[in-house]
Formats: sequence, C-alpha cells, structure tokens
Amino acid sequence: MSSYGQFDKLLNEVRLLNQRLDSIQSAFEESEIIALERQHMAERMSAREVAEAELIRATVRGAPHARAKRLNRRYVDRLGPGLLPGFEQLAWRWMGRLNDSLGGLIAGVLRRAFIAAERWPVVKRVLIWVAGIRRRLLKLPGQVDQQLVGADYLRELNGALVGGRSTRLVGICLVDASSIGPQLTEDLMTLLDEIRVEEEPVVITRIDDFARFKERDIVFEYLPNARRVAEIMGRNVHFGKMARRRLQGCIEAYQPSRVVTVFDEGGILRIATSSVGAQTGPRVVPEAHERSHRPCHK
Amino acid sequence: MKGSSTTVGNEQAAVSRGAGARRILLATTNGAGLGHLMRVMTVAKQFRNSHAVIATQSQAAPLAESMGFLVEYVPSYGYLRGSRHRWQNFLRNRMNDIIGYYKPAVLVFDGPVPYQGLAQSWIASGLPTVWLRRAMWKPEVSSRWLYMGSFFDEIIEPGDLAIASDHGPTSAWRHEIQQCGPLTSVTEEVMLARGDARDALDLPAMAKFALVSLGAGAINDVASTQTEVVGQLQKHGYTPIVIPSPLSTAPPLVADGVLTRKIFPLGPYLRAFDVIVGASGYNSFHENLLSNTPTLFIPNLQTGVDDQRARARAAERAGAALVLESPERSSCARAIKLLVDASVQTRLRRGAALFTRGVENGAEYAANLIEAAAIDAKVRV
Repeated sequence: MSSYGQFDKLLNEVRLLNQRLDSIQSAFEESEIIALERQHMAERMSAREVAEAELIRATVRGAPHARAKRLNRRYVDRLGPGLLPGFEQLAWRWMGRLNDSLGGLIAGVLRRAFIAAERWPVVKRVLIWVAGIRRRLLKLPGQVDQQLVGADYLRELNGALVGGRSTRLVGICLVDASSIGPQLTEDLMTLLDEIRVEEEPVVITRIDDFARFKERDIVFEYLPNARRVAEIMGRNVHFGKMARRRLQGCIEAYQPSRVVTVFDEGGILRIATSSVGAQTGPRVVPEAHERSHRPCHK
Repeated sequence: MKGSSTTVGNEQAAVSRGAGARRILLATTNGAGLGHLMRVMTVAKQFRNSHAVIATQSQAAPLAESMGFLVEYVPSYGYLRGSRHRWQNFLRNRMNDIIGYYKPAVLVFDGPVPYQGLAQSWIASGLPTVWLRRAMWKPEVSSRWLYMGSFFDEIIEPGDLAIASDHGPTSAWRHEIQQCGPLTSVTEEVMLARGDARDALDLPAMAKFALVSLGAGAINDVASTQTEVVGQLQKHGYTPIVIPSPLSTAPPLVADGVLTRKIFPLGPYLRAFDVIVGASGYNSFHENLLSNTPTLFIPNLQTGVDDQRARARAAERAGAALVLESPERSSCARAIKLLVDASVQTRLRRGAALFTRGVENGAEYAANLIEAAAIDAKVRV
C-alpha cells in the first residue's frame, strides 16, 4: 500500500473514531441532563409528582406503547367521542360471547387500524366515514350532537362556578350587541342588575367592553368575531352556528333556570335550548331597540 | 382633549393568507398586565403562512380582536373562582372544544404555568406544542412548573434586556430552550418621531409632557402612587398624561392639568413624551428603553412570577433608567426631581442607547420556529 493509501486509511479511522466519540459524548450529555433533571425532581417534588412527570415524559418522548395510546386518544378525539370504546365494547359484547380471545383480537385489530390511519390517509378517510355513519345511526332525537357543539366542555363545571360565587340560580343572557350604542348598553346593564336580585347572570356577549361586566362582578363569555372565523376557517361560518355552539355549552355547564335573550334572533336560541331541554324564558327586548327594528311595511 | 381616545392598531393583522393556510393556536394565561397577550400578537404578526387563533384568559381580549386577530376568551380561574379542580376540567374541555373546532397545526402557550387542564388537552391532541416561556421569574418561585417543559416539543425564551440579572428558576433551565430577541411590538420602523407622535396625540410641540403608566392595578393599588407622581411632575412644570390600562376598572384620575388618553398600543407614540414614569413589566420595560426616553421605573412588586424589581434594577445599574421601589412622598419627590434634571436625562438617554444597542426583535425568529414546528409535524405524519 502506498503512503497515500496508508494516510487515507488512517484518516478514515480517525474520522470513525471521531464519530464514535461524538455519539458517546452526546449520549453522555443527554443522560447527564436527564439525570440532572431527575435529581432536581427528587429534591423538589413528592414521589407522586415525580411519577406524574415521568409519565408525561414517557408519553411525550414516545415509548412505543405510550405513543400508541396517544394516537388512540387522538383518533378518539378526532372521530367522535366514544368511538373507540364503542367499537371495543361492541367487539367484546358480540364476539366475546363466543370467545373472549376473539373479542380481544378484534379490539386489538381496531386499535391497530387507528394507528395505521395515522400513516395512511386512505385508512383515515374510511374510519372517518364509518364514524360518521355511526354517529348518524346512534343519534337519538333531542340528543345533543356533541361533535357539532362541543357541548361537554363545561359540563363538569356544572354548579361549581355558581357554587364558588353564589348559590343562587343562573340565568343566561345571549347578547348580540356588538353595534349597539352606549344608551342601549346601559339598558342592558340595568337589566343585568335587575336579574342579579334573584339570580346570578352569565352573559354570553359580543359587547367588547369587558370592564362593564368586571366592575359588576358578572360572569361573561365572549363570542368570537364571526367574520374573522369565516376568513380563517376558509368557509362561511354563520354567526348563529357559533352562538348556538357556545350557548349550548354554557347551558350544559351552568344549568340555568331560564334563558333570557337580548337583541337575539329567537330561532337560534330556540334550537339551542330545546336540544338540551333547557327552559327558555321571556325574550327581553329593550324598548329602544324594538323601536329601531319595527317593520317599515304593513 | 381631556379623556379623548385614540384608536390605534387596526392593522388587520390577520391579513388574507389564503383560506387554505394552516392555523396556529396561541393560548395565553391572564397575567398582571398585557405582556402575554402582546407577546403572542407580536409573534403572530410575523407568521408567513399561518393564521393565528388566540385563546386568552386576559380580559384585554377585545383589544386583540381590534387588531385583527381571531380571539377566543377563556374565563380565568381568578375571575370565575369556585373549585380549582373543576376549573381545570373547564379549561381542558374548552381547549378540546377550541382545538376540535379550529383544528390548529401547532399549539403555543405563553405563560409561566401550563395549567393541568391545558396540558391534558394538548397532550391528548397529539399536536406539536411550543412554550413561549418568559424568563426573569422571581427567585422564590418554585421550579416545579418547569418540569412541564418536557411535554412541550419546543421551548422559546423571549429575550430580555435584563437577562444578566435573572436569578430565577428558569436561569438554570436554559439547556432545553431556543432563545430569541425581545418580543416587543416596538421597532424603529413603527416608532413615530417626536413631532409626528405629538401630532397624532394632539399635543402641542413646545410643552413638556410626562407619560404616567403604572400598569393594570389589577393586583396592586396604583391610584395613590399615581396621584403622588402626578403631583410631583406638575410641581416641575410637566403636564402628566395618564394612560389607564385597558384592564383597569378603576375610575380614571381626574385632576386639574392632567390629561388622560386611551391609546393602544402605546409603543409607537412613546417619543411624544419628555419623560416616562411606568411599571417595569416585560413590554413597558423594553418599549420605554427602546424609545430612548428618560424613564423612572416603579416596579410592581405584587406580581406572582415576574421579577419586575430585578428588571428595573438591571436598567438602573446600566445607567439606562431610574428606579423607585417604595413610592412614599419623600422618595417619590427625590426620584422625580432627578428624572426632570436635564443632565440626568442626557445621561439616561445615553445609557439606554448603550443598553439597547444591537438588540434585535425576536418576533420573526420565534414565528419561524413555530411555523417550522407545524411543517415538521406534517412531515412526520
């Protein structure tokens, strides 16, 4: 071998050695950081907190089973509430009667299908299609379409907020008053003060002067700007749909004794309230507003 | 002129980027002032191919909407009260609802505490997550929330001019983060020259004006300090202009010779003022110093996490600002007397220029990192 060849060989070995050193160093640094973090955790956190943090780390950093769990959850969320448990239950109920292991096998296959859907869009589309059919088939009259309205997002809060603030009943006011003037806003505030004598109002509003609610210590929810939503979502989103979605969620959460509408299109409210079985109270329209909306033809 | 309002910032930030552009959810905690909301808006303005959806617990949400952003308001625990556990459930379900509706590509959180409800929702979503985690925590604040960093795919620390004085828990956790320049809405391009700013605010060119902006007053009493400061400034021939925080529900200060303005965002107009007396929250600190206007910082010591004292002291040590920690009558009089001194003002201007020299706004870099996280996630899938 020529001296050039020997030099090349040597250089190559040095390169390989260097690479190995790099990988050892990075592995060492990584383990050192993890060890340091663990030490911090042990010093500052209880055993339970450490376990929780480790679980979060495992879930996020992707132990294989944890990743599978995460993907499953993702598809449960995406395809509709209860889809995967529903399939599993069906599998166990129907097939498990014959053979427990067969039911387990089918449940396992379904689980793998969800993971496969992550990789192949065709599988994803099929699953979404199946889920859509299932939802349509299983939806009962009067039942809230949770996928549409996301209505359970406040359910667990039921009574708690009220309990924290007051034990009084709650009335919800749906207020579409983004363009009303100061006088009508004052009328609304007077109305809210009247409601507060008997009940704790929760206002769903487009009024962007939050200080008015804050100084009265009134709970309020804010509806996003429908035009902006339409621009960003890339499709025409009706304001009513958005209002209904939020209203249904709030009704589920606050369980109001009545719903008072102010400046609202009655139809949206009726659909929203009837679908959750809430009682709709009187529609309150301040006189000044009614005057401005009086029909101009007979 | 008194009590007049200047509406600024209808910038249509959510400019048309095409209906098919991806969406990025930016969630913020409530905070003492507008820092969290301002930071995410500053970053969101730099998105090239994404729409921002801001979900904030701040009651300044309408301000973000007035600047062209799509805003979802999530009532904070502090406002709703009740059981903390149930509020966490509320937050989780609301986040699930928002994510399900807008289908964002990336989830960004700005705040010191990634609440349990938020974390549960975001982990379950399987989407890439970014924590915009401001430094300068008070040293006594527990570092336990920093362990939540392991559930974020990326942690971005917005730059802070006072970072050398950071002795809080985040200072020991820099191995896992991406750092960028300060995230402020103020750059040299948007800041108006003195004459233009005065014209915009309808202020005469020759008089001496002092800006008084002591923060939201949501967690501390600013009224008495404000009265004291205003009185001292008037003694020295300055016309105080009080800018009430958009979050404040307290009645505006009404006194002879005091002007009130409602301006948002304030940054572009800072050069209209001869001196500034303000809190040392992240935004005002950086904006005031970048405007190169002589400033007296009165740090809000009641904040839960933000170390306003350390930030203000760092500027003082650099000769870039004055600091008044306990604004009693005598100390306030001394501090204002220094602030209005012409030689001190020259020194402060020079100090601020040195302190801020070479500082680059980090918004574009942070926005690029966040958008890259969305692209990475798409490639992985």
